[in-house]
Amino acid sequence: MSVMLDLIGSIVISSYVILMGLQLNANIAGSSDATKANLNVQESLVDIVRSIESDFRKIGYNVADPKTSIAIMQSNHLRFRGDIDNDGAVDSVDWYVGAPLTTLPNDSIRILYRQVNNGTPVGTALGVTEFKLAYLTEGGKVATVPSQVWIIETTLRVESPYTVADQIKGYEAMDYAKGFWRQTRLASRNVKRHG
Amino acid sequence: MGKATLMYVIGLAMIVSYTLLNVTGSATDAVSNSVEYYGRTVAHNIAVAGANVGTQLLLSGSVTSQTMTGSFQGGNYALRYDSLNADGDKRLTVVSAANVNEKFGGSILRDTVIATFKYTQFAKYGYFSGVEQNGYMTPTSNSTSGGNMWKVTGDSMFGYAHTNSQWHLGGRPYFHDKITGFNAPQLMVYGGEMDPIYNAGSQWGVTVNRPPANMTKLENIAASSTPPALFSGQDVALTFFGDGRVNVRIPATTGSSRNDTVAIGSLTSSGVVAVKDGDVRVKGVYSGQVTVVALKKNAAATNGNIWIDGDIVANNNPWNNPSSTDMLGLVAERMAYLTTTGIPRTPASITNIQAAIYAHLGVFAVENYSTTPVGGRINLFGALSMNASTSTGRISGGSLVNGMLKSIRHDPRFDSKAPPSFPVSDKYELVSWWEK
Repeated sequence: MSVMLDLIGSIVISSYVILMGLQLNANIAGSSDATKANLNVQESLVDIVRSIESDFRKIGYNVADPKTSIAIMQSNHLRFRGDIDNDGAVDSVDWYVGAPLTTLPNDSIRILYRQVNNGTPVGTALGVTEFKLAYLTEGGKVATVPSQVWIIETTLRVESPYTVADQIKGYEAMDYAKGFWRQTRLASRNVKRHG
Repeated sequence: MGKATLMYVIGLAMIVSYTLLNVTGSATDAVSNSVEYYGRTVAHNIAVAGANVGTQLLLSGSVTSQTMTGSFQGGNYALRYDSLNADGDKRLTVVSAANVNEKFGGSILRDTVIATFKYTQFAKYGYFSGVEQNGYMTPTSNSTSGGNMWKVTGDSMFGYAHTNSQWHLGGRPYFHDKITGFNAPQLMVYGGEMDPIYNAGSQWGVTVNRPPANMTKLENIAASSTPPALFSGQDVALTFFGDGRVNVRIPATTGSSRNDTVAIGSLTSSGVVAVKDGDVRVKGVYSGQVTVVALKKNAAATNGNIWIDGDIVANNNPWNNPSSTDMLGLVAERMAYLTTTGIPRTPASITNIQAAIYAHLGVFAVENYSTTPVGGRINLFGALSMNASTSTGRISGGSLVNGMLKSIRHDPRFDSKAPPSFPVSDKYELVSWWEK
């Protein structure tokens, strides 16, 4: 009888331990997944930001008339002129986002394109869900024409393509890993060199 | 049973440990990634800060050493000035070092900013005045009319506009490009309005010196030209032709000393033709690049004037073709007159001038603007820098009763280029700013 009780007791306890182990495994896997998704989002964000910063700082570089540095100023499309490779020839560079991709679980993700001198656009599918540009004058007001642009406020949001468990709430709160960056005073000195 | 449980627990612990290691690794990578970005941002900020310091020193004329070091945000920067050419162009190179990553086992991060500067070129101004008062001088007197000159509703300026004093603005005059001045403008209600339009912004507290050394420099350049292109003591008339030649008449009225037609390149190798102690009369269609200079005999003299005897335009019209290389500079130490004596004009006449005009002590004006009959309109396409403001005609009751109307448009080529040895300020301005 006591043997039977031992067996039953050990089965119950081991089952409980196994369930705990499975739950722990699931939690750790979810946490790992979320951490990696967040890391990917962060690395994607940093990569894009570094490219944007590097390009935008060269707006108007070696352009004879800085007022002509910006050719297109739309909320999701910027075309500027600048000698981005410092070879003495002024380049035309476009940054814009395409339509949302429908093939991914996160249907807000778009491809962010960079196009140099009307060449083939190079798209980066790094999870960009928002790429917004605001153009401001010297006095911080909204610029209405390209020649007035002094400051470009850039907003970038990057998300993971699939949902991951919340690192605190767990699987009960699945959401996309997100990274957000906003540069409020990204201004090229070449644009504002007169005066 | 005990062994199996033990093995199960140990196995589970190993799996959990491995997974936790991965999670921790991801977290470490995230921190490393963040630190790397932060470190590069700090290195960049340090370089930009150093470049700002170096720029400010250069623009304020406070540079005392070719090299300098400093610190910012826990890092260091080293800057260096290099002279690029005889025109005084400068290059500022700043290298920064940030040790943010070093604290986390990484290497020192560096960044570089390179800026180039040149003296402010007067040809870049669509309109420049030393003072916004009437600076007209008659051909025989060095006294000026004086009196504030107002820009009012209906007036428009294209190209950078600057005065070393104070603008007087009534109503809604339009400034297409940036307007600067030393004092904030004096505003006046005109037509019920008092709201000037600064389309590209404004800035006050700005002074741009007009060094007299420009005149001496131009004299020396003309004198050292091959053959020497400095003429003294007599008025000179230059009539340009579209094939690149110019007729030279000395004196201007008779041509008794010299009257021949040569290529501009044969007249001056430097591109500068100067007359000292005399006036220069110009007209025609020019091809190539040349600066014509008229210099006074001394401070009391009334010569040193440029007289524009008719249309003076480029062979390759820059209005239609911005890539035209034809450029003319007209530099008068005293006045630049549009001649009216002996030149018949009607109210419908159009006089075209395509040149960068610089009047050091005087202004560009219509000869006897307040008494001469109505002579139509001047279309100036180029640049205009003067010691004071100008009036080309007299308006009464809303109509032109004497002189001429004027339309001044800046030639955008002069934003980055200028006729040969055209006057510059002693103030540096930023030409380019390179950040990685």
